[in-house]
Amino acid sequence: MTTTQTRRPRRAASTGFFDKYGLVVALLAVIAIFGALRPSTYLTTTNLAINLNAKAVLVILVLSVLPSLAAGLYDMSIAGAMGLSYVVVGYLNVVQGWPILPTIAIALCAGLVIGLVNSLLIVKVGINSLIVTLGMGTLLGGIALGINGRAVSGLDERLVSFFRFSVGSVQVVFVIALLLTVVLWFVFRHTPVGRYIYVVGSGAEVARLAGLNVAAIQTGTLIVASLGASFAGVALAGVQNSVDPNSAAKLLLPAFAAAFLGSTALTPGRFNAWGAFIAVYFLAAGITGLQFLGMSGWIENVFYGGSLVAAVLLSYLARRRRS
Amino acid sequence: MTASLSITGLSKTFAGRRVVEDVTFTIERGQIVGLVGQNGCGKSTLIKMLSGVHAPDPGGRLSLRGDDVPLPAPPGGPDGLAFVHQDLGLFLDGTILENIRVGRFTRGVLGNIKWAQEAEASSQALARLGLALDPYTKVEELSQVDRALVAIARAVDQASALDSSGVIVLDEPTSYLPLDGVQRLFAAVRALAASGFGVLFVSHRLDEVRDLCDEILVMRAGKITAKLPASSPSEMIVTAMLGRELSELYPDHVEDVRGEEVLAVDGVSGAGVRDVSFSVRRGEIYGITGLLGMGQERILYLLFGAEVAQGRVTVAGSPLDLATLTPRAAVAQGMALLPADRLRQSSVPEASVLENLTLVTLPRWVSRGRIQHRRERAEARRTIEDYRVEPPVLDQPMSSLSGGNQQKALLAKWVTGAPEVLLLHEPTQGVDIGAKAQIFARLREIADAGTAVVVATTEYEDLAQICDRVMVMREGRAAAELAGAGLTEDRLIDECYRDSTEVTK
Repeated sequence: MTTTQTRRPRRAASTGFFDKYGLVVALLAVIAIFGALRPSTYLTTTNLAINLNAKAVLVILVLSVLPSLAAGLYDMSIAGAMGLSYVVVGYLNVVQGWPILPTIAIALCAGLVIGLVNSLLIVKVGINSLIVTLGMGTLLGGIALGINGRAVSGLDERLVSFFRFSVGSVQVVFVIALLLTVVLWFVFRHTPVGRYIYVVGSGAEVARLAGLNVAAIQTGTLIVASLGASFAGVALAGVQNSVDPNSAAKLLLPAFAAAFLGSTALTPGRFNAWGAFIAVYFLAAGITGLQFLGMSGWIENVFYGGSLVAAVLLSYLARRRRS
Repeated sequence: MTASLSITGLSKTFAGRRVVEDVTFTIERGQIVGLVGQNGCGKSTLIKMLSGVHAPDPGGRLSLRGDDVPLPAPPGGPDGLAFVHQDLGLFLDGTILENIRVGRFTRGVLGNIKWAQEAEASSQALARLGLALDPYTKVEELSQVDRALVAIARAVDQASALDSSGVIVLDEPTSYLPLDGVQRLFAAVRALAASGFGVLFVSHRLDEVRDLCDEILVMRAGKITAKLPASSPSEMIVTAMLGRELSELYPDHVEDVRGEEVLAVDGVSGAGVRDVSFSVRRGEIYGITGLLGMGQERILYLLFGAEVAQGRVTVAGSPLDLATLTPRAAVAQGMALLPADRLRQSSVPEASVLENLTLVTLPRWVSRGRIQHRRERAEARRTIEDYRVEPPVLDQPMSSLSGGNQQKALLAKWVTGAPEVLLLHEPTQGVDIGAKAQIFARLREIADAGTAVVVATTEYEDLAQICDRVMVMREGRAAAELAGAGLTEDRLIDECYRDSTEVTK
């Protein structure tokens, strides 16, 4: 509820400094701690750049799912949609030898179709979004394996060099993630649609009785989720220059962990773009740091899973304190 | 023969105010006694003392079949006394058996439920109501009437815990029933009484009370003011409820119309509403009232396209078909609806006051796709100051305001959209007296500015004070329309409580 732009004195401390910037402080603290422990390896621009690039696809995936979460819907099929497009890119481009542009078009169309099917079932028929998309995600993962279950590499040079193109010390894929964050922030913060999405998420019946087109808003957010996830799949293929059909599913939990953790920051209680962006890198900074200390493998799941639970707990406590 | 239920000198004081005073009455075995009274007369408090929610003041006595029950009664009421409330309290995805017997299951040595015995017990309870339902049927598959009957069967089963008869209290069980369902329910209640049960029947519907009961208790200002035979005319019962003679029936007098007709409703039907027509002119405040379940609480939602309906409305000359009308189209045609359910239908509690306030008018502050925050905030600030929303904050969550201030802000939300027709359902529910006065003053201003205002409420006094005309609904139909000098609180109450059998339409 921080739609403030005037110079009026801020209201009483119902959302204080730490409510808003706690996550930013935590990110800086994590960097400082691991930087002090491993100054020569952790605290380097190379490590920073590697992390920024490596998590850019995750940022794109999180941003895709944010509008639907804000509208009160759970889209658990994003990893499935991402994985399908990812596999389709590898299959059509490498195995079938298709040119890259039609390949990308087909991959994105798959995302669009998934979004339409999801919204048909959720918005039109009225089935619980969590259940529908949980099934849909698994179904899509199966289809992807059916199309091509083996890893392929050697994608079209232009796709790879585009996403890996260096802008200063980061790659284009990070710049895209950053731009999309700005766009989503703008939509949520400065456009009526963004406002309406929040209202639909916290009071769909109120929105309906106020004359808003609730079905169109929900449908739109679900299509954004699947389409955005498909684009993340294309980007992942480009960045990796290879397709491993099993790697997309692993991003589902990190995406939700970042979305929920991000909703505890900046505009606490609301899914927001910059919060999610910071949350992705907070989680990455923590995990990388622990890996530098010698913990690996198991630590990712513990950290992502723990963060999701902690994020939900934090927002619950914050809401209880506010009311 | 000892009486089923005997109450002597029962009183209840809240914060120094006596809301129930020295209530004494008996219900004989097999007797059906009605309890009537206006809202706030102490009926609910009396029932809640019997069910163990409130502890009575010292000195009262309660006995069941001759045995004194220690007061306060245990939660849920003493053994031998059971309750059926308006909402029935059934879990819909359970079976009839589970609903009737849950909490009292007979267990075997392994802690297993003895289903055969349970089915037998359920069937017995149902049989006492003259019902032959399969105890394994799910409650959600039952009609509204059968659900009410299952709730009564559960009460019968509870109340016969000690011996084969007890007392059940039916608290407005017919509110949600269709007319033919009421007769089935009554037949079951009569069968129950014939088998030796005592019944206390609480209702707002005088015709039903007169139809079902042997004797009628009238409560007013915390006391039983009259014990009347069921054959008493309803005017006599209403007089006892009001504590004064009904005022003379004034001749109807329609005030000079102020403007052209801006809302015309033609034959609207839907859930609980049958073929209602009326029209409202510019500058008029039109009231709709009736007892709970008579249609006044649903009609506004039908007119707004928020619920399935048939019929036509014409708003400022544009005819709209209710079969296809959506709230979105209604808003586009200049209609506005302020629902009674503030938490779920009219406000977004966790969104800010600003976001609630400008939900309808937001497009005005959008320029080239972008919200002009400064203009939006400046205008919103003017509005909440104008509507005297206290504290005048924009960024706090809506839920941080008091009920009255929320309602003022929500009224502003719709009025700033300059509607042709403003529909309000129970606009002063949960609103303090100061805010209430402000809301009424505002409604008059809005009407004077040319909006047709329609208020649906059961606050008779408010209606009499603020409305130009009031329609009274009975059994889903427009039963009467009062206006001018004929529009008084007493007349409204009289019309509301009048027998539905007198409806000639």
